[in-house]
Amino acid sequence: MGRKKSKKVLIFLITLALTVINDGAVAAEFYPLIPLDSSLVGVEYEYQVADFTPRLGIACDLETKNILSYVSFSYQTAPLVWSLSYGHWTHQYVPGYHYQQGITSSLCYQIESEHSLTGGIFGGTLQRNEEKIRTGLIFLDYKKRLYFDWDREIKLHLITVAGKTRESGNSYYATELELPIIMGSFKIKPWLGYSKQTRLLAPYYDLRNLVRGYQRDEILGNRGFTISFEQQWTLFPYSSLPFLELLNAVVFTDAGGVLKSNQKAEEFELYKSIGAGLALKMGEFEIRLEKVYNRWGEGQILFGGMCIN
Amino acid sequence: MRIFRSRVGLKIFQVALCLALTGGGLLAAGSRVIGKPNFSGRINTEFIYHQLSEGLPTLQQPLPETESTTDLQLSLSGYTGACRYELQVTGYFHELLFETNQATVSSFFGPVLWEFGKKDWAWGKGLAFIPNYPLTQEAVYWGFENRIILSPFSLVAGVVRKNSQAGAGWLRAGKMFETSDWETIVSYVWRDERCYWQGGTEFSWDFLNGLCLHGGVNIEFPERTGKYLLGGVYTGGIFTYIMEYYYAKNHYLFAGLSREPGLFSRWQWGIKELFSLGDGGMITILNLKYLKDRTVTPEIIITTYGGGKGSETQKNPVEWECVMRLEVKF
Repeated sequence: MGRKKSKKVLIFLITLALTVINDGAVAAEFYPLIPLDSSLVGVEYEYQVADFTPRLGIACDLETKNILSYVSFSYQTAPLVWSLSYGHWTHQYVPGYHYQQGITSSLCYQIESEHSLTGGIFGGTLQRNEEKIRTGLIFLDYKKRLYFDWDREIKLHLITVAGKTRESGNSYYATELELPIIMGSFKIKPWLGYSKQTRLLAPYYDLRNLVRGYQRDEILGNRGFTISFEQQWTLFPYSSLPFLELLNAVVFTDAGGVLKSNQKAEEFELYKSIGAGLALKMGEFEIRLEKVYNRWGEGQILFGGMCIN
Repeated sequence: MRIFRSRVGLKIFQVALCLALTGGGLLAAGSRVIGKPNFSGRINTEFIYHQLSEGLPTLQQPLPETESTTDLQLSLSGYTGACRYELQVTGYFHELLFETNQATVSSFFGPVLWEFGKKDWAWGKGLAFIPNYPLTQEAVYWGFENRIILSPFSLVAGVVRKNSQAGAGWLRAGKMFETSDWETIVSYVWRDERCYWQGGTEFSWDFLNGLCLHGGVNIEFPERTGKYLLGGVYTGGIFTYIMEYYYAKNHYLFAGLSREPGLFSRWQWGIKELFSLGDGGMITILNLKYLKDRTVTPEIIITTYGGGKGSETQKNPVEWECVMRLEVKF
């Protein structure tokens, strides 16, 4: 274990050295990973040579204290980007599984600006807590910005994944759809999710990620429906002070629920929450501080989606 | 080949074929040069709720109460010299299955347009039923078809095969008039180790006032069983009306009313009813579609199964179903 960690630290040091000694002959970039959307803190480094882009990443998960790293290569020939990566990193396709260790190959078709379709295959191990499952899967990730004045979080998003576990050969499947609607400054974000579980690999949805104000692993299910209503106002539209004109007031209400695989549709229970807060909007990037109350009147303070109280 | 004997090998081959088709097609589409292959794709995702009959034991339920499907269809077409090729692959994610829906080559040889390959070869004017097509509609078969066009006449000869147990050959002779066309069909069908002859005729007639009629008759030998269809579509200023009466082992009436999106409204809705005149069964389909964005179309479809007591539709374990569908084209 210690040897593995030292290898990862070595990769990080090489990455850092390459960044420092970079003489500008090739385009190299260094991205910090800040724990706002997730609990990762680390760095990503890419080094573009013509149409090829090698990339390295190293990070620490603040919740599990795991050290993660990956190496990848991508080749771009418009409108396609082909990429191949290997490593132990966060997983984003099978719901409920947060880490992957293995090889991923994907092909991204940039249809237009902010409109893309990515398909790919993965072979390796998926991880949830301490549980590790060997699997092979294929995925499809479609994104389209329907409204130009919305931030990066609010766009049509369809993710589908299907695969088989190596041990049992049983197949699983999961699909999620977010279809946003805008009416003036009022934003409505419906979400639908469905997953077919197997005995060894059971994709699930955590209500905490869909309806704000609930605890992690409190309400879980393999299918569900949620809807979010939100309104924002610019607090100081004419201010000349830095950052103040970017500050928005937010009020929102979320509602929805998830069902376990052994539950019938009539057992669907609606969980609601209501809240308000501040959002610092910096183009694609948004920092939010919110106070939210769930159906039992329990309050939470959320910063960047993470509970801090 | 050995790779096709192993299921994993076959799966890898299918995924590789899909990726090659995607990559090749996208590269070709990206070049945007006339004569280059044309690539297109479609994603169709559905979230389905079935209201099952009360009292049906869980073990006897034919369908889960809720389910979801997602399929990705990729199409590639173009010309190689004088030959046109079309390739269509569909990946059914919910079943982890990839299938080739179409792989055809066609070209002119003098006045003859020939086509060879695998596809759905169905023809006919019927909307709910086609009496003269001898095989299952929306199924794909390997086949070969020749079409001679000597305007206003046409002659089509085709043979298709699914396996040694199912296939058909046909000869279709047609004539086009100013506002109508007529066709006579003779076909030979083999299914379940038995052979049949079929003969029939089809027509369509445009009255140039919004009303189009269509119909057909088919008789199968040696049993002398008949199938027939008479229908019409009226396209008015606001609505489109469809009515079809057909017979195939039972008498059916199909009726539809729909509103297409206009200049100010992007909504499209429709109601379709299928009545079984023999036992009083009834299937009602309501759909609502939003067509603002040319690439993304959300739709809700509600289907109810009801009608007379003891009818086939009344015995259906599904009382009604609701489908939330999203279609993405690229």
